[in-house]
Formats: sequence, structure tokens, C-alpha cells
Amino acid sequence: MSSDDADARTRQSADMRAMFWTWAGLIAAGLTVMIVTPLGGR
Amino acid sequence: MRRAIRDNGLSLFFLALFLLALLGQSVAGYLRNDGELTDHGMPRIGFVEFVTSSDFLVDVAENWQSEFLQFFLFIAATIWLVQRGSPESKRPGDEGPGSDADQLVGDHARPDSPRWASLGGLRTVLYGNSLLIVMGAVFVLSWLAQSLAGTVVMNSENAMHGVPSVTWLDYVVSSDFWDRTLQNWQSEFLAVGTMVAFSIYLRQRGSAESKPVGEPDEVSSTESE
Repeated sequence: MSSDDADARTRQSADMRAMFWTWAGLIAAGLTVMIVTPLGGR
Repeated sequence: MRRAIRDNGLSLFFLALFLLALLGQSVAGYLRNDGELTDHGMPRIGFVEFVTSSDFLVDVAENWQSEFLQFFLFIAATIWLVQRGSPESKRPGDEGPGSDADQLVGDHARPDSPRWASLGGLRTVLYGNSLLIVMGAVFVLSWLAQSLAGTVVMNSENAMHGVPSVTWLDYVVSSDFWDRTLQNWQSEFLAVGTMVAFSIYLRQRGSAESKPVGEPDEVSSTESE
């Protein structure tokens, strides 16, 4: 595998991780707001 | 950059749709709420106050829980149940969690397999069920959020009408909670069942959710052939 191929795979892996954590962060933030807000009585 | 957008287009497309729909829901909900407050001669509230209120969040949570329940059940049911001819299903005879060789776990893992697939033991069991575990956890937490926010909304309405407040346990056995819950569940189950059955005979050329156009009707998942 050439260094260009290795760089491309590294970038692709970083992009896939970014997608995963974007959605995971969105869900975690949403759940936190939806649980904490009513517990505060709002 | 262009390649990154192309490689992740499906996630990015639905991320944009989700954010636009949530924004639209918040604006429409705010206008509805504002109209109701005005009609009842009550003080109006700001947009930020509305989107951080249980009145808005209960509607978001009840839809979240049903969507995650749908995927949780679909992932779990397709381990053990099949539909002959559906691309959403394994072939009849392939029911079950599959052998270690089929699943590339333990000694059968490849050099490029995820690390926890090759470790064996509890970590491989956890990793092998991680999608179901996470979707199930999000379902339970969303349903909990719906019940908590629903209790606050019911109590604010009760206060306006001079009715005693209810506890969370009262609310989770109330008709309001189950009306909100089951109206979402029925539509999810309808959509999933329809997708499984329609995809036996109907095709969408180019879609990963469809068999190839010329594939015989009786062929189930092409991947498991």
C-alpha cells in the first residue's frame, strides 16, 4: 500500500468516526435535555 | 472535501433533514403554543423558553422513542424471524445468531476486523450485540423522557383547571401516556411490516433497500446468498 493510499484510508476512517460521534453526541445531548428539563419541573 | 461529502452523504443528508425538521417543529409548536396562551389570556413566553419546556420536549421524546423501538425490534426480530423474498430478511434456514466463522469473530476474525471481534469473551459478546444494546438504551431513555415531560405537562394543565397534580407513577398508567405512546408505535409497526412485505415484489433500482430489479421474487437478502 502506498503512502497516498494509507493517507486516504486514515482520512476516511476519521470521517467515519466523525459521523458516528456527531450522531452519538446529538442523541446524548437530546436525551440529556429531554430528561433533565422535566426533572427540573419546567 | 468533496470526496468526504460523497463518502458520508447518507449520514449528512439525514442530519440536515433532521435539523431542518426539528427547527420546523419548534417554530410550528411555538406558534401553536403562543396562540393557545393568547386565547386563554395567559402571559406569552419566548421561543427559547418554549423549546426548553416539557410542552415541546414531550412531543420530541414520544417520536424518538417510537423510532428507536422500531429499529430495536427490527434488528432483534431479523435475527430469528425471516420473510422469504424480502431483501430486509435473511434466507429461510439462516435464522439465529450465526456461527463464529460466518460472523468473523474469535479465531475467525480477519487482521482488519474490529479489535473486540477477535478478543473473545465478554467483550466480543458485548460488541456482537452493541447495535441492539445502544438502540434499546436510547428507546428506554427516550420513553423515560416522554413520561417525565408528559407528567410536567399534565400537571401544568391540571393546575390551570384546579385539578390535583399527578405523580410520575400515576402518569405512566394514564390514558394520555398510552395514547401518545401507542399512536406512534402503530405507525412504526405498519411501516416496517409494509416495507418487509412490499419489498418482496416491488423494486427500487439502485437502492440498498431493494433487491436488484431482475432478482427473482423468492430471493431474500442477496448479501446472505
